Amino acid sequence: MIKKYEVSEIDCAVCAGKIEDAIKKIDGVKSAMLNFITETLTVEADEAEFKRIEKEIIKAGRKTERDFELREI
Amino acid sequence: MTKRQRKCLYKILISAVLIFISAIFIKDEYVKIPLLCTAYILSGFKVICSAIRKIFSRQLFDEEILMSVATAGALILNEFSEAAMVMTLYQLGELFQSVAVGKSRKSIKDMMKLKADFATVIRGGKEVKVIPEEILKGETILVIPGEKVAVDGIIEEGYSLFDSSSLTGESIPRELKAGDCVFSGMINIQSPVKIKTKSVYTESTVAKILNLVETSSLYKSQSEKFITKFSRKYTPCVFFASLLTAVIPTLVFGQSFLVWLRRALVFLIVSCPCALVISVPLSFFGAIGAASKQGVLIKGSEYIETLSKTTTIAFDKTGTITKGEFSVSKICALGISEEKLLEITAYAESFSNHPIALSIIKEYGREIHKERIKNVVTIHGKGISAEIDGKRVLAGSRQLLADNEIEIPYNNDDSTYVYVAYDNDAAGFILMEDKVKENACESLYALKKAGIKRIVMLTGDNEKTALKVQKEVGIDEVYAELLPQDKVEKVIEMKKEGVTAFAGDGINDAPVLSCVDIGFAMGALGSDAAVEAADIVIMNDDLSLLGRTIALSKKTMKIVRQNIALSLGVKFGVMALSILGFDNMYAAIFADVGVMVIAVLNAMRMMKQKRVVA
Repeated sequence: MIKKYEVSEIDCAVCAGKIEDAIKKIDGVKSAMLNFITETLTVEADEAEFKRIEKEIIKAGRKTERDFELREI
Repeated sequence: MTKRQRKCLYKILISAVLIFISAIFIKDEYVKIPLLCTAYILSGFKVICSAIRKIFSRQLFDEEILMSVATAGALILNEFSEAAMVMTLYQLGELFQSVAVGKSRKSIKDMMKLKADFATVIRGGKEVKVIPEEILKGETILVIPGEKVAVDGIIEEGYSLFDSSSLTGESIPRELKAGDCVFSGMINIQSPVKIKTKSVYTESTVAKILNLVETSSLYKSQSEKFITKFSRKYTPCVFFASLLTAVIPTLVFGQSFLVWLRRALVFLIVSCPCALVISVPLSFFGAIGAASKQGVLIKGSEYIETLSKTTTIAFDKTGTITKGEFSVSKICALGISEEKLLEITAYAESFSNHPIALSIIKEYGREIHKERIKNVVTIHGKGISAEIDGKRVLAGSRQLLADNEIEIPYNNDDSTYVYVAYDNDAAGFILMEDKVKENACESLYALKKAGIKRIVMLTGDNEKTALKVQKEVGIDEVYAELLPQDKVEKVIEMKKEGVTAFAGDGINDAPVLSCVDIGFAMGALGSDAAVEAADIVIMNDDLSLLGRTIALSKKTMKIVRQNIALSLGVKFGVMALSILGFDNMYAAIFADVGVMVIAVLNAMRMMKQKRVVA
């Protein structure tokens, strides 16, 4: 299953790259793509695991960009 | 500006005022130092907190850490005003970056504003407002003037003009009536229409275009990949270089540690690779956005880079260089007038929907009284026999007339000749022709001017027709009577001699499109197969867009190269100077922030231009 999110408060392209790498390493994430310019994050994972994964995405994001936010679209 | 940005701006302003006051009015060190420390903490508190957190989570080479270390170094050196100033300027640079990125994001998002916010669906006789995702296939939606069409469909009722400029870049509105296809993203500009939807939102044209733009970051150009790799190695390298600058001269040559520490701090300050990391993808994205405004979809920055190096373009003939629709080019009548010949042929063909029949009827242009026609028989592969006003009319190939023992004194066995017999006697022929597109000649010339060395035409058509087209529009080489697999072979041969692009209508050319360096699909609006197979999709069938897109790709690469050269040049310059004794931290931070500003502004030029002249 693929879910799309809108992310906010990423100002720096290097940070976006770091966050993308961190999300890819989360257990259960099959693929992840963070588009810095359109501020969209696409994540593929099993439906049952999304709740936990979302929490971990936010945690990973805030490690690099302290105001990182996530909204499903 | 967002709320967060405004808050940041206030902090910067207060810090700046404090630094200014302490520099001009206050002489007493005991007042000066607390003032400067307040300014430093005000602008840098968040940076330092975040830096400490990052050290604990082992993200060592981060610009916030670099800035914290650099300013902490300045504090150790008792340079309070420099520490406060560097932190404030750094925050100002960050703020500018955030505003600039926000602005360019907005202008790109505006370009992509193809999706309707809501749609009016007629359910059970009532009008219901829903979001596009909730519309089902086969429902009826009402689109009033000024509204965007939410999903693809067919007009059920009504007639209107539609603005498709955001999809195809065409400025002339399309006239659409009941039975015509409407694509999502078009804007109704005249009168209300009812549309029967033929797809759900996620399968509609708009969703596909938006998806394509969003996933374009998957196909990254070499330059972008280089920058990403570079920035990962660059920051740690600078960090160690700065450490060595501080330590080696002191330990090995016994020079003053404080002097070299200052120089090392300058190193740290210019270490942020952000100017590159932001401006390069921004230039590419700007180019993709600018192209999409003209109805050209580029699937990723990789293709912009390759396109800028293209030297050979191969074209398909029918539908790409020619219009792909037939028109009457010559009428030759025997025994009856030319008007009469056209009239009886149009009548005979009036029950057919073959492209040639349709063009003859269009050329005739008057109403057809079907009661005058009787006994219409289609003779498969040969033509039509019908009775008009009681007299027999045959229209079709020479063979059709020969089968009916009618001699015709012409000898052209081309499928584009329609031979006609009237009342059992030869009546002449109508020659049909697929005309070359009006701007084909200029467009191909523009390609040459944009740096294309070799223009080739590949066609399945016979050699005579192909050579005629070649003469008309100026193509370097022509290969005729090719089967689809022959086209693939030819293209592979061409690739050996230079980067090769292919332009076709995308429907029959999928194998060729998939094996060239750059595949263009033309006239692709509404054709999923074409969008799928090509690297660059031209929504309408305007040939001049090819040259414009190539010019755009070259301009993008120029801006990217300028930005790389400028950023690296200034950074390495400042580093070299700092080793030679330049230790002004203000100048260093100005160099860092200034370069980023220039690079971002330069990249934003890509977005500003509406039309690129080839």
